[in-house]
Amino acid sequence: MPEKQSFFRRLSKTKILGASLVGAAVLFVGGIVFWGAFNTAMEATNEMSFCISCHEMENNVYQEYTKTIHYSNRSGVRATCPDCHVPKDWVHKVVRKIKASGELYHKVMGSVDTPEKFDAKRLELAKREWRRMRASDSRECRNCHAFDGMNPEAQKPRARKQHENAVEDGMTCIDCHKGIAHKPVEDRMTEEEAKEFEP
Amino acid sequence: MSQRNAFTLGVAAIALGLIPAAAFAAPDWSKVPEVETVLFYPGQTALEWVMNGPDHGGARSFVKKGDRCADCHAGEQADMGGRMVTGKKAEKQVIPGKRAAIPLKVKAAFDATNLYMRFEFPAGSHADVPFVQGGKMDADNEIKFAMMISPEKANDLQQRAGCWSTCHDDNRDMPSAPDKAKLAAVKGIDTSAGYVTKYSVDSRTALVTSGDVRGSFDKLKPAAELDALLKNGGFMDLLRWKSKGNVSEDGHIAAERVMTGGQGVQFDGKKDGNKWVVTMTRKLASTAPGDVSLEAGKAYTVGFAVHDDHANGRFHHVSVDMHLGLGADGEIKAVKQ
Repeated sequence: MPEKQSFFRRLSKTKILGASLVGAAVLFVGGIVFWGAFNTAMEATNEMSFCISCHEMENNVYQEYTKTIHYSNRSGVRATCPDCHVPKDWVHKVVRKIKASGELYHKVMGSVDTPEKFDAKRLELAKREWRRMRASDSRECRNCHAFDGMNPEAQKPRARKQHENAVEDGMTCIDCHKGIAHKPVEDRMTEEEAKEFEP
Repeated sequence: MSQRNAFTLGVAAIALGLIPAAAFAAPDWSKVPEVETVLFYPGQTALEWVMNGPDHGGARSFVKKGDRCADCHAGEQADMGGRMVTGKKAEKQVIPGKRAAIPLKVKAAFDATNLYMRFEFPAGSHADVPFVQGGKMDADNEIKFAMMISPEKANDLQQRAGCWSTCHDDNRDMPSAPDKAKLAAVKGIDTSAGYVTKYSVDSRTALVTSGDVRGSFDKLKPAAELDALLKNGGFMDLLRWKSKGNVSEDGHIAAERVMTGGQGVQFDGKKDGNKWVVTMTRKLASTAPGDVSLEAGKAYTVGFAVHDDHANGRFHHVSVDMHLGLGADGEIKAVKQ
């Protein structure tokens, strides 16, 4: 009669995807710690305080934003930098973060480190963001805004009419709302450039 | 004097042309409903500005969707005027202290012969114009009041834009106003005053609405086509009152602005305390060139302007397009007498 193995012995011989149970447990806990640390670090870069820790942002676009309805309004709901510029879902967020890492290079190079340099690049930067928003059907705007949630009766005639037209023609928020939180620059576009952004 | 003698005297006076017939038929204004609109300071927002997307967020709605200016802007005129009169938008020559908007009360009535209108708006204070010697552009006239009427046959753009269809980027004091050499080169319009006046969209072969230099003053249609404009609706009827001397003018805008040639109109205006009151009587039917013949049961696109505080040219306050209905629907419903 074979010797009956102890429970702990059997447990120690158990393999999960080729790893011992102890090894799997270490990996599991380590994974949670890594995942948590990774996400904590990523979320730390997803705060407005992080965005304006660079003077390039604080002295330029942030100052403009504080004068708009997305910063201060009747109901106190505030959309901060990442609410508009970083996707909420994980996959798109990571892709955006990886792309944004290029900003580190420009920080070192001082590409926009004076108001004059920033202004010279402003249209180029804005166009990049407009393209991203058009490609995603203004996904970040739609995290808060939706055509079917709008009450036309509560809108001014101009907004009511424009939203009716937008729904009819399948337009997206950024088609009209360029520069809604920053200095408007669409009038700097040449006619050829403007065509790219026509609905 | 007996009643019969008074009547006989009245008829005789009319026959002799001493008293305008209209004076006897003026409606009891207290029984005519009032509509209130707002005239606003338009800055340098010409038709070309309206139609250019980067300048005007509603360009697409106007150009591609066929919306009227009033569809979006009725109700927000004072806000728009405030942005322009302070130079925040579309204005490079700010006049400090100029008012942004003027509320205008309008009443309208008609009978078998005439259209009667009454306008009332508050008088404002004087603001010196810094870029004009003496501070007044038109020292003679404290106020000029104008009304435009678009013919029933006018093109769709004119019907939707009202007065704006005649205001262009190359007009007097506008961003693309041509220099003397360019003015001298254009034939067919009177440029002797040194500027281009308003013109109708149908009077030009093309509309230049984008680029650094906009407007189409030099793209006049051939003379024969220009002559036909007054028959086929390619013009705006223009009626104007001047405060000095209580003067009435009846002109039109086609290839250029002409202040004569219509059948005539009778304005009567005065400053009454802290407000201006202007009444107008105009025959419905007219065969004169540049006049719109009005018919009961129809609505017409109209626009109003006040040259306030001795203003001239573009430095006026204007309405968005409105519909005047003669027994028909419209923002202003003329009451049948």
